[in-house]
Amino acid sequence: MTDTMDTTRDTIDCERFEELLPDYLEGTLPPAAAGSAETHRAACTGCATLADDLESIRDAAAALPAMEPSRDLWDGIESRIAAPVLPLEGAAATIARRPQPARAPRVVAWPRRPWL
Amino acid sequence: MTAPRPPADTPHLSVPQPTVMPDAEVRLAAGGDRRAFERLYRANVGRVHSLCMRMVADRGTAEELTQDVFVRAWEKLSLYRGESAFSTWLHRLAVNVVLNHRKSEGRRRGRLEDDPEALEGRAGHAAPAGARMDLEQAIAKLPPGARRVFVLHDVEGFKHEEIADMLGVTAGGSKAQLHRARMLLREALER
Repeated sequence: MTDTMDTTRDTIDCERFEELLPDYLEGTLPPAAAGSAETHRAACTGCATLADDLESIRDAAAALPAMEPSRDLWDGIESRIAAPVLPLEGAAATIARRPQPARAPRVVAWPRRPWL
Repeated sequence: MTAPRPPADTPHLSVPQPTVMPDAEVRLAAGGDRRAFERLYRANVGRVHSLCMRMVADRGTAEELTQDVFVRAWEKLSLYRGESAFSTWLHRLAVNVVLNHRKSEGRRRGRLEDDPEALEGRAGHAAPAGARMDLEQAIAKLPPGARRVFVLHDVEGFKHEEIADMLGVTAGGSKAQLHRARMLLREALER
């Protein structure tokens, strides 16, 4: 392996091509490295097929059509947004006005005092 | 030979762009007009649902999330300032809703997602016997981490830096996941 991290060489092997492939497909390789990748792609059927396939997947993904929901979701949305929301002050006032349940007087059972 | 695609400056849209809504429509909705908001919903639901569906790969969850997105949009409409198209604002909101769902699901279930193995079996998404898997099916079967990055980058057109920010990963990590996703898809589509 002679061309490990040198991206400026004119010739690269398949392993190096695969390393460069993500950036090559992004178009973010420096020009010299992009040129090396292009040269290798033109000369190597396997790497050319790999790059073609990944480009096809990328392009097909960008062209995928919309997926409509299987049912109309509007009714569910409308019922949620139509629910009245109490403003905080109103809510606080409501809570303050809310009658409190009557409390039974607390009964504490003291232990019998045997000394009495 | 196909030249590499230059980096996208703006998200490319995989689905037809909804008609640009007049500001008046958004203003009406922000003022509480539910009919105006319904029109916004109908113009944008396909794009929002597509994002949810491809991100979570489950129809029921995707439909719940789609509803959540629009309820959230209704609640936040007063914050929309018109600095970007309404559809762009809504799309960002949808991404946030889906990613927040992922976080809460992740907390609930622990970290059992993202099996490093290749495409996973998933109920309801099996390819018909003998049929070649199509791209949608193959995306649905990607491991969740790779699927999210693939959908955000290749389908929705976000840049790695944006994805890194959304997912709390590095741009390099996003790039690596994208490459992994494409390689897994290639393998699946060749079967």
